[in-house]
Amino acid sequence: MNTRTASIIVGLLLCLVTALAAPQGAAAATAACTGIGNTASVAYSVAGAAQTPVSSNTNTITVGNKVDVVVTTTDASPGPAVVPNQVDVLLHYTITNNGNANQRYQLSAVDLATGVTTSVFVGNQTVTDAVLVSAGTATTGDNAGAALATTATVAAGGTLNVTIKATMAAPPLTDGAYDVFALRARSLKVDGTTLEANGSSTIDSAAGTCTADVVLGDGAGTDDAVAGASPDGSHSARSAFHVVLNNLSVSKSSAPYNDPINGTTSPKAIPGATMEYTVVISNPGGSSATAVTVTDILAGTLTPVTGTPTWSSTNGGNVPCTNQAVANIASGGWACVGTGWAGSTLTATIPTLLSGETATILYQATIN
Amino acid sequence: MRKIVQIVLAAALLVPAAAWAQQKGGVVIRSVSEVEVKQKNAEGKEEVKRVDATKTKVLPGETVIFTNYYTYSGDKPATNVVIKNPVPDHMIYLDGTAAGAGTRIEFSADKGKTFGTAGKVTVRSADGKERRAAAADYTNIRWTLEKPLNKGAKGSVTFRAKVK
Repeated sequence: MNTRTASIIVGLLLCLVTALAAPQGAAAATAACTGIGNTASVAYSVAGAAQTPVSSNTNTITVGNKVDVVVTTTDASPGPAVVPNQVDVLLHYTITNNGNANQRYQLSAVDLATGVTTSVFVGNQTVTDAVLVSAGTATTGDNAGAALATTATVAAGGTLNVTIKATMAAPPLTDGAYDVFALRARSLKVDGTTLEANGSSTIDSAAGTCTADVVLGDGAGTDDAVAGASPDGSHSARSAFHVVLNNLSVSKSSAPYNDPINGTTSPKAIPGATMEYTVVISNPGGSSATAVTVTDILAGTLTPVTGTPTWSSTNGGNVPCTNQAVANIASGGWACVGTGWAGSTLTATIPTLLSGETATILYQATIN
Repeated sequence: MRKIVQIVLAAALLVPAAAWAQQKGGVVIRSVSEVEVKQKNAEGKEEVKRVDATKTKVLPGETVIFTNYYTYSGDKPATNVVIKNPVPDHMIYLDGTAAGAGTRIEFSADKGKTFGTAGKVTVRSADGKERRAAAADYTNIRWTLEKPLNKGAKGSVTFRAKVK
C-alpha cells in the first residue's frame, strides 16, 4: 500500500483577486476633507414687533483622516489542508479600510516559518522559494524567506480580498505540519511610497483631495509592522497551509466462490475451492490520491487464479481480466488494474482515488 | 407686561419688503465649535482642555461642542427670543447635551417643521408609521428664552454632536 506522502512549499504567489469593493451600508464614516459648517440663528421681537432674524457666523470644521485598517483571514482554522506537490493552494485574506479616506497599502506576505508560538496555527514548515504576483505581474522569488510586498488602494469603507498562492514541495512532508503566513497591510501616503504617520498629509477621499490631519487609529494585529506599537498604520492576520497526508484505509475479506463438490452454490472453503478476495481501499483525506498500489502476497497454501476468472455476480465485475485483479472505482467503474500476478505476488494499481472515494479490488486464488 | 409700541424707523422704510420694525442694536449671535483634548499640564497631570474645532483635526466618531453666545444691545427689551440651530450635516446630536440657562429646549426631527421636547418628538419611518424620534433623528434644536432680554444681556446655549 502506497499512500501519497508529502513535502512542502515551493512557490508563493500573492494575488489580488477583487479590487475596490464599494463601501457597505449607511454607516460609512464621513469622508476626510469634508467641511462641516454650523450656523445658528435667533428670532426675537421688540415691543411686540418681530425683528429680522439674525444669523451667526458659520464656523466650519474640516474632517480629518482616521487611518484604520483591519486584516482578517476567511480560512477556517487550522487552514487549508494540503498534500505534497499540490499546486495553486490559496490562503485567503480580506483587507477592510475602516478609515474615511481612500488608502494605499503596502501588502506583505510574511512567512512565519520559525518562532511562531502565539498563533491559532501552530507548527511550521520551511519555505524554500516564493514568488509574488500583483495584478498578474510576477516579481522575483523569495529564496531568503523575506516578506514579499506589493501595493494596492482600497476605497474608504471598502474591502480588498488578497490570496497567497503556493505550490507545495515534493515529499516528504510531515503530517500535521503547518506553514504559517501573515498578510500585513501597511498604510501608505498618497505618493504610494511613504509610510502614513500622524500629522498633516495630503488625503485622497470621496470629498476630494485635501491636506488634512492624519490620525492613526488601527488596532493591533498578530504581525503588525511595528511590534507592540498600536496604532502603527498596519494590521495583519494569519492563516496557514496545513499538511494533511492522505492516510488511506484498507480492509480485506474473503469468501468461497466455487468448490469441487458444490460448485458455485453455497461453496465451502475446502481444498481445491476457489476463494474470492475483496480488498477495499478508501481515501478519507481532503485531496485525491494517485497511483495507489495494492500489493498482496499469497500464503503458500493458496495458488493464484492467473487465467480469466469469472467474478461473483454480487460484485458485478464481469470484466475479463487475464492474470490481473479487477477493481471498481466509484468514479470510473470496473477495470483491470495493475501488473497482475508475478508468482504469488499480486500488484494492483488504482490510477486516481478521489477524496472520499472507495475502490474495491477483487482477485481469486485456489486452496491447495 | 407687554407694552405695544409702534416704532417706525427710517431704516425700515428703506426696506419696504421687511414688514418688521427693525430697531438698531439688536441681538448678536456668535457660534463657536470646540473639541475636548486631553493634555498634560505643567504639573504633569492630565486635564481636559477645549480647543477651537476649526483649527484642529476632527475625526469621525469624535464629539464637537457647539456654543452659541448671544448679546443684546437694544434699548427696549427683546421678547420671544428663539435661538435655532440645525444639527450640522454629517453629525448626530448627542442625547441630553442641549443646554441653556433659562431656556425651553425643543427638538425637531423633520427639519424644523414641528418641534417637541426631548422624548416627545415623533418621526415618520420609511413605511409611513409614526414612531418616537431618537436623539440621532433630531435635525434641529431650538432654545426659547423664558424671559425677555434687557439691554446688555448676554448668555449662551450649547449642544454636542458627533461626527458620523
